[in-house]
Amino acid sequence: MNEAKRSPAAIIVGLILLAYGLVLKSQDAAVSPGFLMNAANYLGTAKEVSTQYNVSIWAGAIISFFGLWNLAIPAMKSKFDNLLRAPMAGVGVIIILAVVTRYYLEPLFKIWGKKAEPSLGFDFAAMFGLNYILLGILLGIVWVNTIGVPRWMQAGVKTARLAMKMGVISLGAMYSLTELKYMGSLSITMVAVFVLGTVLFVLWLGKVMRTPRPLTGVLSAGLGVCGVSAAVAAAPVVKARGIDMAYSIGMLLLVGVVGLFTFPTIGKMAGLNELQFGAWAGTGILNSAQVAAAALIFDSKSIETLKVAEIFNITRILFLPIIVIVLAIWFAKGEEETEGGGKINIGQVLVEKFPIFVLGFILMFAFSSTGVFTPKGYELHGKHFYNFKAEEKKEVRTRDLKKIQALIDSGQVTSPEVAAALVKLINDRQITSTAQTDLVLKASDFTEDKQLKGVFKDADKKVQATPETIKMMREYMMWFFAFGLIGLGMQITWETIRQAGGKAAIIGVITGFTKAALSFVVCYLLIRGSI
Amino acid sequence: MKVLVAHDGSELADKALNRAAKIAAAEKGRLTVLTVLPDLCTMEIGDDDCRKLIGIMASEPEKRFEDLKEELAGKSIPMEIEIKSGKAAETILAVSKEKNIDMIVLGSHGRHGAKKFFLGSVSVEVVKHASCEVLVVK
Repeated sequence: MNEAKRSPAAIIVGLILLAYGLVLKSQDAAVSPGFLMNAANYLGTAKEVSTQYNVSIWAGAIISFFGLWNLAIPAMKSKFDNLLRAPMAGVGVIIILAVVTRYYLEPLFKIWGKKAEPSLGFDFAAMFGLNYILLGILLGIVWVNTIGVPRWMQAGVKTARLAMKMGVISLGAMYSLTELKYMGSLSITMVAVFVLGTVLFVLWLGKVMRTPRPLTGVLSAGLGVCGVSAAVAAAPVVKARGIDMAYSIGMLLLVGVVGLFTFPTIGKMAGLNELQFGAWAGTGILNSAQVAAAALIFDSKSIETLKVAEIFNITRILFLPIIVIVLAIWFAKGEEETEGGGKINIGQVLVEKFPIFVLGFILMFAFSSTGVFTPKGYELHGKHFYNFKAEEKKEVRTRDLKKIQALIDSGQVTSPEVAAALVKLINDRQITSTAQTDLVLKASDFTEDKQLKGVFKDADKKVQATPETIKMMREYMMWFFAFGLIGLGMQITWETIRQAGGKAAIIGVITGFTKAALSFVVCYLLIRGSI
Repeated sequence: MKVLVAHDGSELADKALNRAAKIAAAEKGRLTVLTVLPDLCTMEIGDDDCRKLIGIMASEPEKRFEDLKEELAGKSIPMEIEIKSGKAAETILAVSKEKNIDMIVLGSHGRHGAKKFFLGSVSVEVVKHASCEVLVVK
């Protein structure tokens, strides 16, 4: 163990990142493009080159620093060393993989997908959602199942969990109150029905198939709530044995992985929108990290799907303590003869199983909705940011202003407030306040002219502006997710999946498939509209 | 002579254990019984839950080996029990190296019945990479 901690791995990985970043930066500044810039131009990533080298240089510098330190003084077992010094090498490798998938593999597949479209009849890259998220997961899976994760990388791979949590916490800043209310009430209904339905279904199936009760209990939690973590949470109250856990976890991972890869393609083929797909993934996919993965495979460009899916996921995680208590009661009932199995302290379950990252999520939401992250001059209104400073690019064209004038003159605008807002728009040539933007959008109700409706929408769009800080936060958040999901791939091992077996596998496949199919039908038919 | 036997709870592993005990007794050696639990700690669960899970996984072999200890104590074979979690072949090799084991005894295939498909991947790996004698029990 100790000899591994003095390894030069971190410094090597750090220097690779640093070198890549510096070469890219110098080529970007040079007059004639070098080989990296040529590649970037071909791949269409030239615009993102600065993010790329900033990430590479910063990460490279930090990792090299720790690498030097690790080389000079071997890391001991202190908390600090375990937290920061040990994972650096692995963290660096994952960042390299993230850069490779995001800036090289994804664009490459995009080009190939387009090229193959005439002969295949469809764009395979778009159809299978071959974006950097999916490619990163695949790369992780291939890596761990072929060359394996060497010891010097293991601590780094483990940080993937933290990265995912950080991603979800930062996501909290991306919701508006209206969105949260709407998605929240939808998710509570859906999740309540599906979690309870699945738990009861599995308990019944277990009885019919005469499965050992501990195994049934663990499976019902895992399949009903949120996968592996729920199965482990339920284990003590149903007195699960090692074999139950091995069967269940292997199976949960297997069903989850199948869902992760099939959901996005099915969703695209069925033409689900963000709300429908997010709700479906958040209900039908078993494990938490896999929900985020599926949402981002479905759509990695905007974060709308992810926002819906995570609300559903968080809602079901909050259901976990209730299910643990239900299972404890169920188990105790069947164990009357034996020494009162499954005694639990309800308060303790509630405290222990409360997901702390949800507090972080709520805190970020509170900050953003009170405008802490909104820089001066910007206003957060609904789900958009606005900047009303007078600027030429925000002005409505004279031709369109004349049309608006004509509408007012026609007397069709029966609301005096809307009319006043429109008059002000004509005078200022642009919208100047959030109240006005709402009224201008409402003006669409007073005309049938599609073009004019478009003008109102445009006028609103023109004053929308996402502040740089928020853009940066989104970018960092996506790095957290990309990082975490490569790590997720690196933990999907054949070793674990092949533990799936026995009746657990049968129950898992039946339940997993039924839940996915039913929740698809519900999302497809009952969820209408978008966010 | 230090003998290590890999035990995964299967019948074949019991057979291997018997052979190993006989060899250790004949050679007046020491016996190490090693169980490797599958590493089920994915990123879905935190460190605390991971520890709990390993505890659950280990409780069974612990119980099983309690009886074994008593049994072998009668035959006066010095023995120790190791329960680790990780990849089977890798861990068996690492422990044998660490303990300077002279002979590894293990079953040709493990608890998973699908013999034809996974034809003894663990035993093949161990035979391939071990730096000591390996006895594969069939």
